[in-house]
Amino acid sequence: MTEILIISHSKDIASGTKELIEQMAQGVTVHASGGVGGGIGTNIGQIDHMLSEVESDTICFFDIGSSLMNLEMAVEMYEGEHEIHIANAPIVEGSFLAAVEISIGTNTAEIMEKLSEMVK
Amino acid sequence: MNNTMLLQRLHKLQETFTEKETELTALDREIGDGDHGVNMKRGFNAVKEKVTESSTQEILKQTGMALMGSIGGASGPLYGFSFVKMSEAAKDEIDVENLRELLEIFAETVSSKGKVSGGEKTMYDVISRAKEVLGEDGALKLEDLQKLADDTKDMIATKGRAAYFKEKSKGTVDPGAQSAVYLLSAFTLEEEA
Repeated sequence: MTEILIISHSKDIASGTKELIEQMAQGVTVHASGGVGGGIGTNIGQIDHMLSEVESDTICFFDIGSSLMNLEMAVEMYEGEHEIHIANAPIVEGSFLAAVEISIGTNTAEIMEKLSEMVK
Repeated sequence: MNNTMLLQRLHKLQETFTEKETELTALDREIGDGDHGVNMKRGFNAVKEKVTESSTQEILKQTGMALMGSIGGASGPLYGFSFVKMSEAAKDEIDVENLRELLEIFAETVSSKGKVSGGEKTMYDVISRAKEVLGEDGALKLEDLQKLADDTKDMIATKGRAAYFKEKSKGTVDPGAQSAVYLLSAFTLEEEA
């Protein structure tokens, strides 16, 4: 089953979003990480770490500024066997929609199509 | 330039960025958040500490990983990832032709990942034009690179945090362009850099 990855500049945004979508779409695997060294920020290492733990194709969500750049670099360096997609959809609404679609069995391509219609 | 010389040069950047910390911080205070000096120093401290004698390709890759893991903001990942990409094309002995190729990859990586195209007062303005000042003998002179950085002085920032300063960003050399000068000068194929 497709998994979800969330990278935010804030630890609370990451864990809060994870909490929200896990409650609305139970059984969906959500990897979430935010903040660097107790402060605000993202780095490639934390994304690498999450990617090393995914066990299926994964849709990734990001928030502001350099989070996209870091996410793109981590995905480009990813050497695992799963397909990693980056969604340019709002982090809360997008990951929520993806989680619900995953839970009812929609395939990844269709979910990505729906996410592409969400304006960030 | 073989692996031993490359490693020496990259290790020496630790001294360079320690020496230039105040200068980079002062530039970044003008048009950014003032952390570029300490960031570059931290990055090359990590390089000095973690990157050891190995093949040319592995040295470049390890340098990239050390920079990505230790510098915050956008500059660390951009420099770091560029080193990783360059490592894939580096020859054991970097000659002029190979250096030109590496500069091309450096510029392409910063452009695609940093979403810049030039004239936006960024490190890209130095990196993308470094090939113009690369001599036929492979010399990449600090003073020539410096001219490229000086050209960013009159530009108005439209990317990164400096963009918030708009017109006020005029009159200051971009800190990323300045750090790119020091970093690129380590690649000169002249014997004494």
